[in-house]
Amino acid sequence: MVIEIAKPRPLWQILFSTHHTDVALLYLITSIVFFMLGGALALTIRTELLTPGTTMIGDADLFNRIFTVHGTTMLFLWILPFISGVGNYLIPILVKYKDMAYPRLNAVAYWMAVPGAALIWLGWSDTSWMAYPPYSTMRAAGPAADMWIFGLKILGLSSILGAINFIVTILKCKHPDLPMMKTSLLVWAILVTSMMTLAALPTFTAALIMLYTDRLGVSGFFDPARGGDPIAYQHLFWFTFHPEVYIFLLPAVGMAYELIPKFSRKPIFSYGSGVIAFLVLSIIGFASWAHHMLATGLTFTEKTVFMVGTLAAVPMSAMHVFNWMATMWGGRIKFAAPMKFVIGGIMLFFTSGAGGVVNTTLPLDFITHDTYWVVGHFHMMLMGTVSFIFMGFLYYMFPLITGRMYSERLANVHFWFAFIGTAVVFTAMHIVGLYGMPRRIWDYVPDPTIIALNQIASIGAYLIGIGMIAFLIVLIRDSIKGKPADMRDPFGIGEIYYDYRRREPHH
Amino acid sequence: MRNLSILVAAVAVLTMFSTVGMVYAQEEVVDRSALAWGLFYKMMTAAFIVGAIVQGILVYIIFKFKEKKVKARAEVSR
Repeated sequence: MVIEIAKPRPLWQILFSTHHTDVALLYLITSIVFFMLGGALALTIRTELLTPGTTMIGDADLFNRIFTVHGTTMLFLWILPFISGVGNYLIPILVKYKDMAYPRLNAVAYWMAVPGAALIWLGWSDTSWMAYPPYSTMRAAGPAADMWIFGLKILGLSSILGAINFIVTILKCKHPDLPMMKTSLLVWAILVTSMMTLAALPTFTAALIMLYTDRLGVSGFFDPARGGDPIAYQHLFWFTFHPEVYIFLLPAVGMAYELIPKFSRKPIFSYGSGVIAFLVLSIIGFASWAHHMLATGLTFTEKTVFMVGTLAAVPMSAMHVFNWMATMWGGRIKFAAPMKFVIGGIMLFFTSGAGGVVNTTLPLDFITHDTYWVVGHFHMMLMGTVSFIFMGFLYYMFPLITGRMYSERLANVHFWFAFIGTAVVFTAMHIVGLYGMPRRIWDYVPDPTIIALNQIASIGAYLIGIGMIAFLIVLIRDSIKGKPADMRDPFGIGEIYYDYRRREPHH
Repeated sequence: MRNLSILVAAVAVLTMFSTVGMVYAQEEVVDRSALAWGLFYKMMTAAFIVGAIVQGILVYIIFKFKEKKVKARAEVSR
């Protein structure tokens, strides 16, 4: 049985299981816990920025630690584990195989994430999630920064093991009667992102080793006094982390492809264009890393190449959006919570995409670089699009995991507070960035406009916080007391739900 | 073939116009900041127009094709 909570088992059975749904459940619970913790840190940051001067935190160093742990948590302990959780649940079901290809490796990958998370949260580093030298090599306090480095190394290795498992499961364990071009686009999304993970992460792994040896003083890779170059770290870092943006985004796109046709009661408008857009985006993702570094003194030719490489992602992203809209056109759309979150995510996706075009356009980058505009832009993408689609997909999987239905009314409360809050907070951040407010600061100029915009942003953040309380109530209360779901078609959309009666025993 | 010829001719004329314009342009002091902000406003205008169209269509789809407005048809369900 795939249903995990309807028939309770001893906790140790789940903890030490290598079955794909058990490992998936652990990934999902871990990611949601860290989403809430990271969100609490975000609210702390927004409360501190509610007024100029000291509001709550009272210490610039503590503020730096809070936003470092917030950023690291949201990226590596919310988004990545959630993707692994959904992939673990559904990939074996969607490719019609009994489990992941390497069940033990799968459990090892999850359990590596736990010490990685512990190192980040116990270390409480102040380097920011990018850990640029020279600060991270010369000034950042140990052992916090060292724990951060080791935490990320372990998480990176865990991601690589997970990626290998997904690739082998999809390519080698797929049912022979199921052609690749008939699989769900979510399978393509996970396959493409797993391949990107394998190609991108080793560079950052090397960069972390170099960063650590620089901190120990045994090398000077990023130290100009010893013949090194701090900019080299940025190249290594962004070579991994610009593709990583697509590693965060593409699974969400795949989940949207899973939900939109079902809730529109129509087949996907163009399956082939979805596959092509996934493949092309996975290549373009590697052609645009230095757009994060346009202000670091690259030559005009280099900057132009990376600007054009970045803009090449626009048509592919548009292909996905038009595909979704064409799928919905002429359908009979049911606006249950999963569909609401996906539509909200698409609306905010366009906003964040437009901001991204501005960021990569050479002269405009110098206006927005290192301002709150950039913070608004990437949060609009990661919270507004990726997290929205993730939350919608969690509602869709809720009956599969629990055997119960969530409260649509509370899910509605969650959606509207989160949607309005997200639009308010990150739009205000874009505007305050244009007024020149730099990012990663604890205090700001007491200008009336900047104060007002920060207060609007903080109010938006509190609205999201209220929505998240509703989300938590739904998850906990309805997992225990929700109405039993009609497992053949829990959403009443006339679609066959996932195969919830699989016979493979837990192991 | 005829369309291609027209396209090539159009591109050639546009290139000539811009080249002549550059050659005979008056020398002027360039305020890079003003140029950048001008470009920013132009791009934001374009982005808002495109965004309004795309999001407008999305909102139209949401209201036009929502479950309550469209009768159930056997052929739409797979």
